[in-house]
Amino acid sequence: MERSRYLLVGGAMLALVCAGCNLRPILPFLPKTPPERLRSNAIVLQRSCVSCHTIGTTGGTVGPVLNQVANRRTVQWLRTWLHNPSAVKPGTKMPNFGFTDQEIDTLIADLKHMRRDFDPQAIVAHAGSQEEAGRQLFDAYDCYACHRIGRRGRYNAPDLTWVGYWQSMEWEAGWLHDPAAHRPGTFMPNFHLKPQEITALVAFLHGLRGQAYADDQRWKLAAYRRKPVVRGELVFEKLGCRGCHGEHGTAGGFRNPNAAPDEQVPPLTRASQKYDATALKRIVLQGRAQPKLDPEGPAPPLVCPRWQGVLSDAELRDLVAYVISLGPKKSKWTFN
Amino acid sequence: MQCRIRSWCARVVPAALLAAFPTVASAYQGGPVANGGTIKGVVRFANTYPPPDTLEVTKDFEVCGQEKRDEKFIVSPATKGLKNVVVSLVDLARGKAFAPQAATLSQKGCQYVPHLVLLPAGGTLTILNEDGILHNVHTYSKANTPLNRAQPKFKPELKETFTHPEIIKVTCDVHGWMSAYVVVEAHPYYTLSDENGAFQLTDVPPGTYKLRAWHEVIGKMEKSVTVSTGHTAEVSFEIKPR
Repeated sequence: MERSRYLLVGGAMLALVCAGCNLRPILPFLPKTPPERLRSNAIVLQRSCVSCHTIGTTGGTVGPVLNQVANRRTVQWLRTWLHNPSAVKPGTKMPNFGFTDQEIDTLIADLKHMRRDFDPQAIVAHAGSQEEAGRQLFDAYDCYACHRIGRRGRYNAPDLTWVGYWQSMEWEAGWLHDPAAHRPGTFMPNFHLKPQEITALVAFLHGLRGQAYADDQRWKLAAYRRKPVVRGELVFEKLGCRGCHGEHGTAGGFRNPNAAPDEQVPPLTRASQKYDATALKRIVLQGRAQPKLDPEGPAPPLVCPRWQGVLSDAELRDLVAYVISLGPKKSKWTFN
Repeated sequence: MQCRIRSWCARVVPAALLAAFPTVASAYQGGPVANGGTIKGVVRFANTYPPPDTLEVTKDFEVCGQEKRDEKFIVSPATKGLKNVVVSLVDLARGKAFAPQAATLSQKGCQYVPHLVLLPAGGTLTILNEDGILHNVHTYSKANTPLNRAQPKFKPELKETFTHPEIIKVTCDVHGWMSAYVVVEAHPYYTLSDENGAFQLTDVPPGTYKLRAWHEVIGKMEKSVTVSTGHTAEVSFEIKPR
């Protein structure tokens, strides 16, 4: 009896002390006036983010890596995005969480913590060559968060493994200077790069012509796969077709302004309905610009590159077999 | 004379209005049906049927398990009947009373329960997250506004209203194997086939109708059916390899 009374008094005192103590210094993500719901949410939400995004070294691969997102996006952009992602990028996989303004502020504060500060001028000055400087800048700006070169990086933006092959240096320089001016509504942020940085990055990017795959065992063994469609899928991956046409050719919703009919890169799931194997081979070899939606308007910026001279006859045949296999999927069953 | 013109107007003007506004023409009018008949039938495979399949789980194993039953084809070995086929009457003008009702779609063990949910148009769908991990509700709809809403642990319940008849695919982008369908219909004559592939629509006013069967993989098929008072019209849908 005595003992339980002591415990009771002790507990009450402890509760009083704790009510007065300040937890802010050890829990920096707590907002100033934390209603219970918000405090628990901040923690739960961060756990939720990694279902799709990588933070640090762990997390999902559905969305871009978030480590340096505050380097590339402004607070205002992040606020608009978190408020309603579909309004910024129609058709995005990012759902609307219905965040309150306070929750958005908490999340943005956390994202800003992960900023990485580096001196691009020092990178340009100390790297041995322009190309090497470009490679280091590409890494420093965390371009791999969305783009892909060889087997490193993501498919959230075009695959750059062959970019030197399909884009001109002038285009690359102009694009890096101001992406939105080239393609209104693009998801690529403006990094506000200095001219020396653009020169270095273009030197690096323009040298990218598929070398990443040259010594890759995966593609050396591809030729030994038995099924043409399986070999074709590897060619599809190697050429970076997925970067624009989406996983299994279902189109990633990449915008291509003024391209008929819907200003997007076409999915390949209906290609076999429109073209036969010979026509598809011709398109792959000679490249193809999508027709204009408005004949008076500018040419659509994304063009299917000319792959003549890159592909062997066997690879071309396999790739076309794969594209034909993509669809439209017919059910094995039918109503009688 | 005046009277004749008025009766002519009474017939032509509403018809013209209906022609001008097809949505008005297709609006369903519900009321008591005293002289109705029944449509009864079964959806089944003619000979062979697909074996049970599984979906691969790629993350959150502690909640989702290692694999999930693929619910596209749920076939009864005894009757070869196919479950979850949407059977509905098409372009129906009048029939028994119809009111928006609520329905529930649950996310449990990283699977939607049920795989197909019937929702009368204008009704509210309660979406439950019983898993305590993040799911998102992404709908692919044309007539209704598409949705993409997150449902983290602390938001165990979402409510959404669908007003236009449509079969809407629902997916979770976090867990790529998850899919469900919300079947929104603007009249009460629609149902799902049961475990044995059997279905039944009751209190159908006498007349000739188009009866539609829809399945997420097989597609759709329409058959004509004539209903008379107090009788049961039998319709069966057979599925064969293409």
